Amino acid sequence: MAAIDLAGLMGAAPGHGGTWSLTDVFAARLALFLAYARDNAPLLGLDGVLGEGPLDAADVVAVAPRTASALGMDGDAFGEYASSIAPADMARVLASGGIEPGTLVLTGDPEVDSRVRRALDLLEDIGQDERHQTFLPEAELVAGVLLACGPATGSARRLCDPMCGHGGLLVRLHRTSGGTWPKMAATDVDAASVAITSIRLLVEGYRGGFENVRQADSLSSDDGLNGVFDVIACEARHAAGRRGMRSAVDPRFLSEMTGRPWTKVDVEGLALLRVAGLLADGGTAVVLTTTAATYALAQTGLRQYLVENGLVEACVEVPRRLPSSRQTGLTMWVLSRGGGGDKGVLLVVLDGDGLERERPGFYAPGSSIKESARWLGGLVSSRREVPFMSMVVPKDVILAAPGSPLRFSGYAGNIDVASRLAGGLAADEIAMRRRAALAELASAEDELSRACHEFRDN
Amino acid sequence: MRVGDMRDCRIIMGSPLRRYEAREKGMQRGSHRILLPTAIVDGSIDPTLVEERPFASEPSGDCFTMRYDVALELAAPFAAAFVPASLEGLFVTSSICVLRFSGDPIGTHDPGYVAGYLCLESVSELLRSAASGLAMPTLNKAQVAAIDIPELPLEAQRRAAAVALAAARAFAARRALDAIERQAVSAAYAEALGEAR
Repeated sequence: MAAIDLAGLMGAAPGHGGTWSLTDVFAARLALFLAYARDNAPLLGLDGVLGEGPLDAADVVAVAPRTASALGMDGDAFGEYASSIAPADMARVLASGGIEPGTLVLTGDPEVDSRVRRALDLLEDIGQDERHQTFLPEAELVAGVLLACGPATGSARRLCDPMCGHGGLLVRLHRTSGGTWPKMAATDVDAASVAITSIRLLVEGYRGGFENVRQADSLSSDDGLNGVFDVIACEARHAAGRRGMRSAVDPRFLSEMTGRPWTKVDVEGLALLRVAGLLADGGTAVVLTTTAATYALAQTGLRQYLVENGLVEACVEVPRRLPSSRQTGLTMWVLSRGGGGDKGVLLVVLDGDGLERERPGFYAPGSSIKESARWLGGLVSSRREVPFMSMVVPKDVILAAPGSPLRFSGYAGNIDVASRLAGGLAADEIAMRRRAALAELASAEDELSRACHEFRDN
Repeated sequence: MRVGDMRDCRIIMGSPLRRYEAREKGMQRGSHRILLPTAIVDGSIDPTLVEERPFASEPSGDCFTMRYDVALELAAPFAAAFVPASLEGLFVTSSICVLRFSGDPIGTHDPGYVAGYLCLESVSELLRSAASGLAMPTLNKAQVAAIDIPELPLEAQRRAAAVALAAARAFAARRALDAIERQAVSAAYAEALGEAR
């Protein structure tokens, strides 16, 4: 049996874990978690939990949930996750010398120690996982908007991702806010996702407890999330495949879907409703949905419900232009309870002429995504209107519009053309340029005429 | 005569921009004006559509336009243009090739004549049928080399080239006039709407 060179994997350039199979990455991730836990046992209060000797593949199924439980994590989810990894794959990972105790010093500073950075990248590397991709550029935008629009962090504030996937949004928020969220809650129906979210938060330095990071269907009425939250961030597509939500949403929306199979549109729409239901007074949520699916006509009633109740603060369309993004066009819904939704909804489209004029570097590659996220946060929190890019549409106008669309293009007719025209050239300047253009044309026509004559004369 | 058989002509394929472009902050080592197909309009290169981009490394070899080159778009609609002296030094992107003629200033083939010939509508249709690919017909180097340019005495080439170049200049002048007249309409409406308020 060939051993996986875990040290080699750690030495690979960030983001290149794709050369490894998904099962290898899953096994390596769990092995890294155990190595990290063992390296930091005293700090994490795990003395005696993991022992000193080498780990055996068969042990991992028992050791992983025991370690997770000792850390306050969902031990059952870890058990299920560990069981899903074939013993042969686990054995191949454990055959690597790279995870012997003391060889992985994951407590180091990732900015200084490249091994630590790569270990974090590996833990974050889910590029091969079609079901649970986390779109880091979009996550950056979500973090920017939430930090600008959400309530200030504080000991009483609670942060939640009810459809956490691999925890990308929570990790990004934790990192962007400098770890100032004391308590985080996260659920997912998938055990592996819960385990990976827990691991990533732990490695990121989160020490707020894992009692609310659980395997559960957050869209059912019995979700175990214990109440409402001040800040919520989630990707609605992670709600796919759930049926529990049927019992937790307003029956009038279900009636729109009676007699036909549920589609992705329905699930994403109902996820929005559920998130709105989890918001505390004064709370803010940012939900990512796919743009095309969310605006299907079947969701008219849902949009009207959200607008009518003043729950929608803004809808931001993000086309598929972000560097490194694999996602199709997304819409970022900013929901709030007791926020500015009663005054109208800010509709934004991050594309076209308006964006190019206002912030030309928005989609520039590299580190500018952080600046773009900050800029977007400022735009949404100030509810600023930019010609051809953003406008605040009053509630009654949205409710009266056929289909009650919540996208900028649905109200493009409201754009003030006169103010747009006002920025053009002055009449004198135009007249001068026109005279010059006419002179150039006359000269060009003369030249063409001469050339034609010369051609014919010969 | 086939382009590939012209002894005074070299076919230079463009280079991928992504190989040299600085895509992140801090990588920039310089910048270059680049020639994209969108800048080739009606037989000439529109200087207002030539973009300047940051470069991370300096391209080596024949990656830049020289005066008297003929630029040819490699995908439909196969736009072509004569490169004047004022547009020397543009980085030629991979969707374009240039035909570079030797001789001072002109050897046995007049580049203006070749550019004008490639701009003919019927030639464009011919290139479309010769190109590979259904969704986006594209010419490779061998297919460019196989383009047949009718042989004419140099003097006849010069006279035809003079017509083609003068027509390209007139096209450009008309486009400029169109643009300024559109602005005149906008300005009139801006004033009228402003007064109405």
